[in-house]
Amino acid sequence: MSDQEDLNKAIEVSVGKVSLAVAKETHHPQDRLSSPELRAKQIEQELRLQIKDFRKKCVEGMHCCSQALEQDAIQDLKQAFHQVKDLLQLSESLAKGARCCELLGIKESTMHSLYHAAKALFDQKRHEEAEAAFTFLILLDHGQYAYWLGLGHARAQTKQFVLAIEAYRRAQELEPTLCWPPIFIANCLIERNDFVGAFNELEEAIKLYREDKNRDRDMELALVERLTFIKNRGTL
Amino acid sequence: MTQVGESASIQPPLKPAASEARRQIEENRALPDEPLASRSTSPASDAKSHLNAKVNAAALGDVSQALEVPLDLKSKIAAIAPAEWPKSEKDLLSKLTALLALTEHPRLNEEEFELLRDAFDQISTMAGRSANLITGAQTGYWEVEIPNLSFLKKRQTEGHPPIIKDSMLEKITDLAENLRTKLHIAGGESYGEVKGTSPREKIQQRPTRSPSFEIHDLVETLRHLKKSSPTFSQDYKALLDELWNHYQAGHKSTVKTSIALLDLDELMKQSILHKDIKILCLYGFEEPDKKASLINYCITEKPVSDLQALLEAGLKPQVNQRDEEKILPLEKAIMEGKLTHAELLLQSGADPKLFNREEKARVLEKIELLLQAPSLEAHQKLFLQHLQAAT
Repeated sequence: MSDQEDLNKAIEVSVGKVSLAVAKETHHPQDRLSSPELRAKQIEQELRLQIKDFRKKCVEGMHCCSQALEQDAIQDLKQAFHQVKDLLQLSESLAKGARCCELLGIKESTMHSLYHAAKALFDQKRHEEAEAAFTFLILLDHGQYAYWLGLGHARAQTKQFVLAIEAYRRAQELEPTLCWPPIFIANCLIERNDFVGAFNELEEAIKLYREDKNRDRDMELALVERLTFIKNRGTL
Repeated sequence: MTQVGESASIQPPLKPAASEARRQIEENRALPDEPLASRSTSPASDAKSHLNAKVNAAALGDVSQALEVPLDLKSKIAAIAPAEWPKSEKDLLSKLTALLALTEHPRLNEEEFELLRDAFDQISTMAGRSANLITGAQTGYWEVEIPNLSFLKKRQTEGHPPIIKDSMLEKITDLAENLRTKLHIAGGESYGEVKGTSPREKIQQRPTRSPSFEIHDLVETLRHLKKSSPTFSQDYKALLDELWNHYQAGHKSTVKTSIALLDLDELMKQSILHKDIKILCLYGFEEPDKKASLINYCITEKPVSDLQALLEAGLKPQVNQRDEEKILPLEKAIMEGKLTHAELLLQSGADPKLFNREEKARVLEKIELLLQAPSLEAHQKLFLQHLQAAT
């Protein structure tokens, strides 16, 4: 597919530019052992790996989800993806904030089935497959809180705490009034022995929870208990 | 911002929280039953977001390509089931892993389950053969049968270690064991060790299993029988008949692969006595030259009644076919001095005009010699003269 080749070339160019920009941004003038160019090379390499991994996971995720799909949902998905032709134009639409599921016209019922398939994988403790499935879902709709939360959970269960926190942060951006993302971020930070960070996140979570009209006493109590636990661990 | 350790003293004494609430907080497992309303995000402004958009578009392209492959379970199983031997241990490992993943499919029905069992059986048989061949290659024993012999030889001369590494073998064995459990397939039994019960009885005592496992059993019994009784008997015939039934029922590749594992060459030749051409087809004697080889074998080793039976069983079209050594049956019969065999071949349609110049010279020379034999009967002399004229 020549279109895919063009896009790959465009990605290569963008990777170079982004890496250099990030390297310049994060470079300390006092750091004489490293140059922004050298750092850019490292970032470029990491980015390439991340992109490769992401693309692989999207395909894997589609396969994982499709195993649990009914025939009509598979047909809908196939029909939608059959329209994927001009990838460069598609990337432009995506850059404007459009969601893939809307661009491709995937039915809401299919999206629900995909979510349930991914959730089932997670519930069955097939975390690696669940991670791929949620990655695929996020590719289709990056504006969905539940998908980012699922991705965060799957990554946390596979001990990828930094990546899990990234996913939870995206979930938090989408639903800033919900207390769950900071709670889960705190859990990941505890795993990384960052008790100060965890304490702050949990405090934020308690604050948000107290603003919730439907709050439950047990839950509030449990949050405070957790906060105390973190505080004690942090002072050890 | 509150710092860790600051607020410990101002907290009131806590009563234990409800365990459900505590579990929800401590475990990253809570996911909404239904997705919430999707939020729109702001357009990409920086270079990184533009890169993300491009990567997303590329991933969509990848998924689109992947979706061109059929997604239904039957097609997936068919895609995993090998058409040829696994090329490497990695290939084998990936095939077994893919099968294992399919056993977890939430909507696996009976038919698909059977297909999975068949596919697993086929893979294990082929893998077993590959492993044998690969190991055999290192001793230079299996030379003729290895498809990628040059590659193996190169490895061998360069002093590389064995192709299947121990660690890989361990993984493969574990995976296969796991699959056996999932597919409810009993482990292989050593038939040689069964005392007091014949292998046949042992098989009959077993509960009903998948056809692929039945085939495996039959082949194992044949292997055992071959060790204990080297001459062809009714037992062989019964076993081969059962295999033929499986072959006819649609398990062609499994039967052929399994039976190819046994070196039944000699046995097959003996089976001519049973006039059972289907057995020969089973063993892969479908090619005309192999069938001609059997005719020639029969001319050399068997009485004319056996040759007649063989031709009647379905080998008549091969009377004018050269065998694997490019020898025509009629030439074979004349050169062996088997005149009744030659007569039968002529009656069955053998054409003396098919000899090339060299063959013709050889045959005519032999006929001359035979004509000088003092013990030659009148009708034989007549036949030879007729043949001489026809050649």
